[in-house]
Amino acid sequence: MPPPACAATPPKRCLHDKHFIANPSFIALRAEAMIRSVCQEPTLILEIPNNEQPGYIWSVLCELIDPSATDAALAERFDEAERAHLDLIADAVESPLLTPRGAGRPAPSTQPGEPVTAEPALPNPKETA
Amino acid sequence: MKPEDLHRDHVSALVAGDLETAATIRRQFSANDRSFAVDYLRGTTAICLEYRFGPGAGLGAGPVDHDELASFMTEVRETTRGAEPPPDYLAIEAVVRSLYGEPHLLEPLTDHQRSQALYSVLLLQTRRFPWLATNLDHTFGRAKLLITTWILGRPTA
Repeated sequence: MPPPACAATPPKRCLHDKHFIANPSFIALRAEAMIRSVCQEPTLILEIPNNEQPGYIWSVLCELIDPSATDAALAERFDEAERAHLDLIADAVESPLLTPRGAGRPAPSTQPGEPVTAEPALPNPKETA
Repeated sequence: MKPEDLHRDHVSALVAGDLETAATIRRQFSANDRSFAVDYLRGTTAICLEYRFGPGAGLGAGPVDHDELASFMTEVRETTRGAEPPPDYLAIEAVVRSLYGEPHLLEPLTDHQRSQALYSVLLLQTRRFPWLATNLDHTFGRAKLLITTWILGRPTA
């Protein structure tokens, strides 16, 4: 994956020059934030107002996609995007951050003498001393 | 009182956190003063930013070191966590990078957005490097040279 600074090179000046004159509400840094949000800095997506996100997505896509691309090539890209989206959701659902506490772990032993510790392999320093 | 003193007092009050005095001074501003106040704030902020991002801020240095900028933005987020209204982090990034070779990032912002973002940066820098706040005269002297260069194209008249 290229570093965000490289990925964000195209919108640095050309997007600003292309869109800002026609539409002074266009903020090139938001288009850059859109790219960086999918590379390494997901929090940046929060900086772009919801209703403006599609506009910036399209302005970035127009830069990236070859205008002579055929419909078949585009359909393939859409399928790819669909798969990436499904993967993303699957990852999110299986993420340990989202699992409720204790749900993913084996149930702790209820036998009275057995200690319930998370790392049974580690020796207890008090016992060894 | 010279107009420059007015701007100097305004930024000193901002750095000291005395927002009442700053608002009183702003009431004496004319229409020209209002736009120049942003430039004065920008010049002072540029001098303070040189301690973090290297010399030449606003004078053709750049591009900014992105790792340094990322850690700077993390600090900004930490110090302003829970602030109401939430600061415009992209505007803050824009004012920093506009001083390091990307002035077009400043164009979409209004004067109000610019001064708010510049003020957040200035406050963070003067808290991190307290000698900037205690030796404001030195900072203003250098900021004056910088702003003169912006206007006239050379350091002194």
